[in-house]
Amino acid sequence: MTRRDLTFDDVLKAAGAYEIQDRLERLSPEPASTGCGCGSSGGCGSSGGQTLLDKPLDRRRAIGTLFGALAVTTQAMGACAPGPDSAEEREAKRLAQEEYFKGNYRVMTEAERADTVRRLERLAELRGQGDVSIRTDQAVPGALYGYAFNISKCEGFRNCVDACIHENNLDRASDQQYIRIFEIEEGSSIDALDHGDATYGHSVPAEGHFYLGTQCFQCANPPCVYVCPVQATWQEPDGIVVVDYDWCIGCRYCMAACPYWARRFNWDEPTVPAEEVNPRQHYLGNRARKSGVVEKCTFCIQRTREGRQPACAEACPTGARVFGNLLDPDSEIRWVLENKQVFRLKEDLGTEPRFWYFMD
Amino acid sequence: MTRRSYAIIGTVWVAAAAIAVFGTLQRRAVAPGTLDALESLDARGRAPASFEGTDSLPSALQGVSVEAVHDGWEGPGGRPFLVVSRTAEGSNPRVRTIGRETYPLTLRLDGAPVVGDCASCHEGQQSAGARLDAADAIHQNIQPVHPSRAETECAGCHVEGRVDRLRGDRGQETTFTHAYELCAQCHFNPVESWAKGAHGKRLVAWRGDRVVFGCAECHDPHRPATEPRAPYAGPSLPESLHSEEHGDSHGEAGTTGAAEHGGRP
Repeated sequence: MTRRDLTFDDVLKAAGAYEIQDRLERLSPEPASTGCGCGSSGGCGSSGGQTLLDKPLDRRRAIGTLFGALAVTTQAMGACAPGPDSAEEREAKRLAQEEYFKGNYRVMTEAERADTVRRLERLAELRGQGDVSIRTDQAVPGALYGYAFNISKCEGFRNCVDACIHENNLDRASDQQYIRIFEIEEGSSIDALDHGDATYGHSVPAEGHFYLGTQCFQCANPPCVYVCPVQATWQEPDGIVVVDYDWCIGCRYCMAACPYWARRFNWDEPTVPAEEVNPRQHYLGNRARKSGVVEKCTFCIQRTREGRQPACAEACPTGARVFGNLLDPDSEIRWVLENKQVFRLKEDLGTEPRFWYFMD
Repeated sequence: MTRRSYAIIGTVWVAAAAIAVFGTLQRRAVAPGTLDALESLDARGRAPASFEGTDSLPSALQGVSVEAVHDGWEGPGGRPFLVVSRTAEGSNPRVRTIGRETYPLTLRLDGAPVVGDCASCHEGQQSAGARLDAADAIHQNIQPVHPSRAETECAGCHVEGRVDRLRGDRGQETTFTHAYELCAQCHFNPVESWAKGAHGKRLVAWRGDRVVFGCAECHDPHRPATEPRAPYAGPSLPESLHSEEHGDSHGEAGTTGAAEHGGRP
């Protein structure tokens, strides 16, 4: 046959995929207990190939099937001569492999989202992260979140940072933090942000200084989203800019594009002590990240979509943080914007942050 | 018609208008069902149904006691809002609740149980001009520097003979949980910001009923300024989770890792 005549089906046949798939299906309910997979239940026939053809087969799924089938066959062979892997380890490997071939969150169907959530929750359990629950709540209708930060009130205690780390399961090993509180000398301009001290350790508030906190501003015109080459980050209808951690390729273009240094990169797999893992998670929020992907503040999407306040606003001991719905004319955030003198950082860039600073 | 009858008609009209306006204010003060909702919040320690979407209270609200409904004050958009106090079980160790009133725990000797309500000692006593000094064993934790050390007199805010009640400068009496009414006599700008949501903070949730703490929940009324203290230093990692490559980067107070992630502050 000529190259042109070669179909994808031929490729699969040549690779023995149907046979492997057939074995896989016989094995899959109880891979640990079947002994040598092709034994008792009627030979390694070719009927299973038809089963595979009945399903809609795209490239991604076919490759996934190939790899999965190879992996399981290897495991089945290992089962004949028992290897070191326990049933749980094999399950974790299988789930991780299925996770690897899933799609971008935005093009998943409801069923696919439910599947991946089930896999991720089970993986967290297998990996000793406890009984986590991962939600995929959509944006609250009629909500557009805004944030205001009172630089007259902030005293630099960093309770917000503490709350953020624990709420969002941030990496403890590298001291990952979404929020930075800058100590700035009174009388200096806001350009002092370039020279402000975000690493102070002395007793606060320090005489003659004020404090200004930054985090992701959820810009209405987000440069980080435009530069992503794989559409792994986008803005949700409620204004929150999110990252699909499983679609991010770790190129860090978004970090270069953000004028506020709001994004963070995981050089290693984040380390969180098992007893400190926050089990209330959102797929686009505080679920477990992996090495080599970018993450960021999401206004605590797992909390705000339930109606709760972001952890930083809840933890602030001075009441310097105001969070609310910009579309509600009776909200506190709207009162602040209409009655206080407010400014935003680097307004001239046109990023339109939904994060304002104000003074008493 | 005589000038006198004009005056009578005018007076009656003004009085009727005043009554109507007053009645409207009274009705607006509390939304229907709101007080019931708060009662259930106190009793069960859970959010009532009106706090949609919250199935448990944030840690700051554990042990919260509903003490006051904001009467005649309005939040943003003219909406009423609710003021709550913390109980002894709450995260603020300075106050405890006896019955339906809260008392500062400054009325306590170190290591000794709470003395009780103020009236157990002060009932009927005339204490005009009384002040606290450093030698006062019962009130040793109270450091009355507000409004100023020279001017602070117990009777400036407390009702003589019944110090668990407060009296404003127009003679109006109120309880500790309504202390914001006294604060507002001088600090009208901060109190306006508090009522409208720019100062203090919204508890429980960003939507639904607005619930806030009163002034004295965060500010010690006898010493309202924030005390300087050490900032949060950063996460503490159990020794077992320290890897060698992380050993060096961990431990600096509050660094964000920014220096290694791009070299900017």
